[in-house]
Amino acid sequence: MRTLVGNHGWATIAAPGNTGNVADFLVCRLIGSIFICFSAILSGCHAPLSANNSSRVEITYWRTLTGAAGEGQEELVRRFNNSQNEIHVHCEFQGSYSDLAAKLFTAAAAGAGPDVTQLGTFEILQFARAGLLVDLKPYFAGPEAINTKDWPGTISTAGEVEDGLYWLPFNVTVPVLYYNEDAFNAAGLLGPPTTWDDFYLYARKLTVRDDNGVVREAGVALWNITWPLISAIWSEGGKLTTRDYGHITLDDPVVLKVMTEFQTLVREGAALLPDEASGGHRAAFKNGRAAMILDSPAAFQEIFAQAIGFTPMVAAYPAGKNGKVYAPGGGGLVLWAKNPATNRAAAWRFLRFMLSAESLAYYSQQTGYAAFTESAQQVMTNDLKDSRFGVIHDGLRFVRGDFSINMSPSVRNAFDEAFQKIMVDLADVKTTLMEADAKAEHAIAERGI
Amino acid sequence: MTRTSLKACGIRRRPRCIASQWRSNRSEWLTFGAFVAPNLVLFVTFTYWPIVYSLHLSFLEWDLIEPSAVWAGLGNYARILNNPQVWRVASNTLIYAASVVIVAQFLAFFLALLLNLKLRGQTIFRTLAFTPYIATTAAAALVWVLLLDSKLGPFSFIFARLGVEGPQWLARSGLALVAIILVGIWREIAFATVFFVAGLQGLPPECYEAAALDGATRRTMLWRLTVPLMSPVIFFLNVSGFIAAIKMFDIVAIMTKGGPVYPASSTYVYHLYKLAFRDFEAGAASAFAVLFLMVILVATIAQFRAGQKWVHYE
Repeated sequence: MRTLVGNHGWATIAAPGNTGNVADFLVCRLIGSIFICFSAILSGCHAPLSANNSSRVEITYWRTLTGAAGEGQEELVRRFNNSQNEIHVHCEFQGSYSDLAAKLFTAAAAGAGPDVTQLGTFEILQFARAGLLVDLKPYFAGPEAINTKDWPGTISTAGEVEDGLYWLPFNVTVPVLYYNEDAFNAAGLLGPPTTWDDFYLYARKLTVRDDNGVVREAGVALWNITWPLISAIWSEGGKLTTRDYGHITLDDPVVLKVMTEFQTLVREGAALLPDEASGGHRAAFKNGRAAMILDSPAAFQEIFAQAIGFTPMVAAYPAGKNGKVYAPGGGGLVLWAKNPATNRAAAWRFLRFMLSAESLAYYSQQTGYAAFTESAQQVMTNDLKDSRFGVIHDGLRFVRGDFSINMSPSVRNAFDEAFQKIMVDLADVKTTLMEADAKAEHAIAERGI
Repeated sequence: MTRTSLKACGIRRRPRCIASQWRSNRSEWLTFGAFVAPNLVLFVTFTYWPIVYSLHLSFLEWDLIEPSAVWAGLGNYARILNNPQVWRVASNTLIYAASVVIVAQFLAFFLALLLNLKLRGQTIFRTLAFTPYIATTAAAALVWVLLLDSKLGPFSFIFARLGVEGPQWLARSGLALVAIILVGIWREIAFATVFFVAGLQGLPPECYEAAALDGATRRTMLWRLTVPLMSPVIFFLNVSGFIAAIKMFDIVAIMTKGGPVYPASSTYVYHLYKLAFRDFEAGAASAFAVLFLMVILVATIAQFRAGQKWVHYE
């Protein structure tokens, strides 16, 4: 004991016979230190965010997306904070859409979370049913309502779950086709395909092989998710599920036809399905390994800035027998129900700001996401003279505000799995879709969604 | 045995009860408790409590966010064991672990024999051999993604010269796991080599001198002397390598995410992560974690039992 404390000025009490006192002293100090540490931690957990102005409401906004799409949101938050003194928003990046969802999920389990958050479409139903999202319908009846009359198509219904409205679109995308203009010219094609039949034909014509028959440039590089195909299926008159999941039709004849067409392209080498770790379909297009990709305007800045050695162009998604019917994509905004209701009014004001014409126009200019309201489009009239922006915004007219495929994990997983088996393992299309349909129905019966 | 004889043997008689022990050594107990408490509190809070809570969750049908949980009994376990995906994941994990442990250690042992030779510049070679293990797995996996790229990677260049298309390692179900095993072996060789080199340097030279006097050849010395003497190192690397291999997550997460057709290249921990944080099935994920704990426990006990037969510590 002497050796332990001798150099710390406690030698007098550490003399033989006084060991008990030293021990008690040490215990007291240790317990005291632990108590102080835990108190500090606990108080840190519950203390309000630092406020310079005591009357100012501090709220937290969780976001996803990187690059221009992330910086655009940071800038909007900055503008909101500078525009008034009553509310201060702390913007926190939480990773990809799936990372954000996982963090929201764990925050919910801990009874915490942000006041406002960006949210993809996958979790809307599950989170809304679990009571994690605030029903926004009452806010539309209040004095600070958002005018949705100039919102296109059925997009305002996209976030509806049962009788409530839990999600509002923010960074909206419509599917678009990017193409390599030089490759089109070399293949003697005068413009992008306007129908799906043309698309399949063009993909074959654009495929370049060397003397050994090895494919050097594919007609199209496919994204390894099903979202781009949903619009193709819908526009050809196909159905995948009803919104209440009472009728799953993954084995619908039109679904079968579309999937077979795409699989044939893969078999022939006209379509490739690159792995995501290598950059996926976008890298294949930017590097000139594929002449077309089916993607979203979210890739707009990246593609036009990084395409190597060719002229990229963006075109409207092809039409099917039923014309153009587009599945919307992207993300939206929600109010988190786990936080104190006292912050809700402030959160709603921030949400209104983010969905204002000016904010949507700014975000669209920065990123390529669609400024989906007419008033926002009026703000960016000059930008829309650029045909590339024009194509994206013209597509909004054809949006069907229906995220039912995304919202049900059972349907989504079954369809994704079938897509991968069909395109990667070249499995029999009909059998695979029938199995997927049965699997989705079984899971819905078991788990409800 | 009398008290005197106990004292003579140097054995102190055990106090009659804990209470009397506490009274006589109160200050020592308090000191002991004070020093142990911070660590113990953290250990219990962040290690043991999650294990117990996980066990509890494994019996519930719950996603952690629904207001109420439903008691599922052994339902989660039954659902997991009846899921063909899980068996595919288990077989992938075993294939990965066995391949990495066996191939990497075999290669590492011979690499260590080379690195143990008295050559100039050997320190540089040893450093180079260990470098893969120092590299962050995420960074290393990304480099491997580029190396294996079917169009831009160096291997594709060789295939292009031959007039054939290079294999799409990460975009083909049959090849994705092979690619992951390659990266795993590459990393494990580095780790095992260091231990083998250290082990080889600690071998008693007199044994080799005696063997040489007896006319033993180099090959005989290698199999009859070096390998048995190195058996504790081999055993340690077997156990630690196997546990590390079945816990592998990062290589899969970065290179394939279990795909291209899930679960073609998924392993145990990646599937666990997917269940918990992608599918939000907390109950099933906890049951899967409990099973994982059992598997590691049984495998380690089996390795220790088997080790008793072939590991020589003297």
